[in-house]
Amino acid sequence: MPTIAASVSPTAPSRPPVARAALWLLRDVTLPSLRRHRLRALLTLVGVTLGVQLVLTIQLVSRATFRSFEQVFATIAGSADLSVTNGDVGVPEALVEPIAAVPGVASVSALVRGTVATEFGTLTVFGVDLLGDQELRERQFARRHVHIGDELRFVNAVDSIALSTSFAGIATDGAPGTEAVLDVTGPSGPSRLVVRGALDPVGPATLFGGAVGLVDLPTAQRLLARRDRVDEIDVLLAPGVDGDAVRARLAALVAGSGTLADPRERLSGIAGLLGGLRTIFAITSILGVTVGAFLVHHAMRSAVLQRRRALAVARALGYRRSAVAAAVLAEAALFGVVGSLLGAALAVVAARLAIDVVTGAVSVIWTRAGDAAIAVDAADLGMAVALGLACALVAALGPATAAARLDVVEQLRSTSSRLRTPLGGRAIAFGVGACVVACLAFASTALWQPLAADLAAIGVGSTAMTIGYAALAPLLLRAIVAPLRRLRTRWGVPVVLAAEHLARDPVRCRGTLGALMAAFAFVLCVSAFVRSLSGTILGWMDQALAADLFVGATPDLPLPSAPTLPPEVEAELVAIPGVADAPPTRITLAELDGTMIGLKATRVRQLRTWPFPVVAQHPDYLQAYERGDAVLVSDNLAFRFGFRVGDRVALDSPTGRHEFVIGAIIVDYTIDVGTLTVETDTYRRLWRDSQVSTYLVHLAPGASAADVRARIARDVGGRRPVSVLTAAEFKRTTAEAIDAAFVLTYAIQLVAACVAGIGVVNFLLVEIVDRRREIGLLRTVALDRRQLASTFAAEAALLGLAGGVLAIVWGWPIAYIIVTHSARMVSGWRLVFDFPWGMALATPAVVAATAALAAVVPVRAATRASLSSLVGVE
Amino acid sequence: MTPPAAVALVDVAKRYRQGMREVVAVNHVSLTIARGEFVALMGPSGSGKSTLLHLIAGLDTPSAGEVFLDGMALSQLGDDALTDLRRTRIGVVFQLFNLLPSIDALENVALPLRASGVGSAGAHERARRALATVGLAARASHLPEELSGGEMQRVSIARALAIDPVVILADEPTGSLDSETGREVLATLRRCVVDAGVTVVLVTHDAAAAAHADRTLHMRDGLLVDGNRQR
Repeated sequence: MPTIAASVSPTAPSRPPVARAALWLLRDVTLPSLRRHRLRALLTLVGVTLGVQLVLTIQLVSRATFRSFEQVFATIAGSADLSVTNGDVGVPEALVEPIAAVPGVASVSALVRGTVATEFGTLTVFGVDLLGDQELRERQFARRHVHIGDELRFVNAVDSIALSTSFAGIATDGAPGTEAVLDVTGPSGPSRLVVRGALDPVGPATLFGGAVGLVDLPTAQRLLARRDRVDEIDVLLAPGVDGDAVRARLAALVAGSGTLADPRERLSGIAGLLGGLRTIFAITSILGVTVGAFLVHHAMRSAVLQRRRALAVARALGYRRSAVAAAVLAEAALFGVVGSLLGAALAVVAARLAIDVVTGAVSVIWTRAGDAAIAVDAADLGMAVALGLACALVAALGPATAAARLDVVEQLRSTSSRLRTPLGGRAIAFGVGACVVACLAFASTALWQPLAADLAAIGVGSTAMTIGYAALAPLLLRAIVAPLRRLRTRWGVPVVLAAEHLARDPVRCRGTLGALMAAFAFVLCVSAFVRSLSGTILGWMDQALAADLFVGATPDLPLPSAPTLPPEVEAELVAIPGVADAPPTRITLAELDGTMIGLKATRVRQLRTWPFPVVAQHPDYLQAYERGDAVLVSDNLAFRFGFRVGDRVALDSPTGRHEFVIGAIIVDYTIDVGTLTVETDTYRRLWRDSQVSTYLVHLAPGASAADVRARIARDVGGRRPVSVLTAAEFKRTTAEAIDAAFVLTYAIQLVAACVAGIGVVNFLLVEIVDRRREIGLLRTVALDRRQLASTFAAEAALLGLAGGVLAIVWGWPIAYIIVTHSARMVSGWRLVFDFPWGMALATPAVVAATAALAAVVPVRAATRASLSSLVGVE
Repeated sequence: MTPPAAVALVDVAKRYRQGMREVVAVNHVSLTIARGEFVALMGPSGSGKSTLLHLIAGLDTPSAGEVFLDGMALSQLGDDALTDLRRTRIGVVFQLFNLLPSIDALENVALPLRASGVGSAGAHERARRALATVGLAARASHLPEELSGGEMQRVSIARALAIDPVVILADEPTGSLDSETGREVLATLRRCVVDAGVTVVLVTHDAAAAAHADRTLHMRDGLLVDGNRQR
């Protein structure tokens, strides 16, 4: 008679390695399934690829843009130990000799640079003292690469220029060295230069596509209107000297005239100049990845759903839960790695397409960038793979857990039902909890904290809200479809069936809903930001920049990098019949305590006629401004530096350091780094710069704008190139510049929407495979092909509708915080929140239509399948 | 020393809720199955016989009582230990075969061996032997879709046999087969008992199938109503 229990402990069964068991499952279950469902596998791969591509494209473009600045900077001043600069306003040339006399200074080189227009395109001109100290100049423009036949003649003739061989090839019709004539128009007006030298394509001559010329320093100062000023003074220290001591002596010497710094330190200032753009790029990439992660989540959940019987068999035969989970994670990892590598390749192509647009926009708004080249290194590939892998693994955690917890008994039944995840109280509590965390994180941004902490709080809040909404999304879906389940019309049968399917197991739609929500919320957020920015700036322009005509050297916006006009144009304009006034405005870049800011010069009469919107003011600020005692500080600059009316601010200038009282804090959206405005005469006297960015032409009563415009073009334009824009054209140019800055984000929105569309197709493909028997039964007993197609289209549309509603509910608060809070934290700008309600309300319909459209492929597959294959399947 | 029974159930019950109603699938069943015994478990649909089989396989846990397999109390084992037990001592044969469609017969049979960490060559060798035992050595490289229903079920038996199990649990193995093929499958199971000394628990509602067993147990409404009818 056998006993029941063993008298001795049985031998413990051997424990096979989880990884090996998982690999066998991957080989025997996963890969064959992927081969069978190639389209679905491909779509999942495309989702990961696009998600990684988005992030990497942004990373590559952002880095290439920054490196293009770095390249210009490093090529010119990178070889110096120290340099003295003051933004674009320059430093006095008179400083060169005293600096050279400081003990420990080995070499000094003054440099002027700027652009001139030629018939062959924009030419960047460098001016150095060709007869001066050679040691540092040799590092910038090495003598062996500068071919000047007669150096003395070159220097004595004030019209000499040496062109890069590539530009000379174009400008001299392939015959350089023949003293060809080159007509240029610079800030000081038109000039005729003679080509008397050539530059080998090395160092600075390779910048800006090779459109580079070298002239002697006085020639550059004349051409570029830098009277007695230079853009930078580069200093090389003698070997072995006490660098700190020399630096202290130099700092004392240049105090009031500019900032002394290591050129490498200045790069961080340039990074700061692009900080706003980089922040927008960073937020954009996070949203892009979120959409991709939802897609992977859904794909893996679907994979588990499809293979549930095979996985249950594996469990019944002795595969542990951990092996099953590991197999699911390994599949996700496979998608992550392959998708990442494909995404990296695609990112290089996309970045190369986008880089010119982005650097173009950056050059217009901030400062001129060099040639941006997209370069990918091993670190980028590593980052892409790590990102794709991490994203895929995190997204697959839930499905892997579900696979490990499969009810084996239920799945092995011959009448096994669809795998359903109940919408339990725990999931709802989790969703609500995540939303509470999101609210707390958003609320914490109201506290004063550093920018990094603030952005981190927004990141945590957005992530928590995304997770929370995704967790609660099935509830919303069930609520949306509930009324449709009661439709009793004949045409409503497909809708009722679709609603029934969605209501029966709404949890399975979570990944797809999440992807739709994130993608379209992202579209709404970016639109809200651009709309708010554009609306705020254009609204401000109506108040602050009101003029009938805007006259500049080119149609570019009057920003620091734009070409300028000479001061005598003011008299020429006023002399034209119909012109009542033509006050000049000047905008350039200066340094305030080492930070780049916008420095503006505006006549007091312009302020009296068209006052800027004022945030705070001293009662007599205009009188003090007119006297040159007071300056106006933009609201965002005041926010960033903590300035108040009555505070004193010291600015370096070519004539030394000058202190001003802050007379008023004004609303000024000229440039995101903030502006400080001084009276034009004061600016010209202290900064020795009488160039003008734009003349604001006011017409006399009854004068015709068209007539005056024509006269300006004829009278003023006859002497030099000018551009005359009406107020409407000026605003349109501004709007276009804003659009250009965001062109990359528009492309990203499109990609995000495509990824969400892929999610819908993927969802329906899985549904069709999983519901083959049900589809067969429906076809047999009730529905024709068209009705069946309508059912799936309705299901996709209802999903889209729910995704669209979620996108609004998710997008509005995030957009509000980005526009009203983040923008203020990053740039100090106070933007008027303008949510695109029209687009938002249309979003659910558009998403539903997009989803229905995306359903075409799977629906065709469902309707074309033969009835016998549908009902006979087991 | 007397070896432990292959399977022993002591006062085992299984209850679950179906909406507001409590269903008693297995109602305090006690049972002992000796090593090398071929036992048929019969009963109408819903009588609890499949549930009992799942409890023996460790795929489900009893609400009360204890299940012993090869002397081990299953309630004392965690999920991983239960999985290991299934992998090494229990062969399961399903009504719907549950072969993985994408791999051939040999790989299907080798599947649990691979889960045990047996190397590729060793797993293939044992799988070949198991296939030969069920008379399908020549069909080793065929995919499931290329096999007949009876062949698929015999591959499924080979898969169970390949691990040298203490017990093979067969849930309606002839339910999807015609009577002739069903007889072949039952004969194969019988050979497992006679030649390999394996214990077989066969769940069926077909009296003809049960006739192949040494002993037939009848279940109704979760109760074991007749536990001693010897062949």
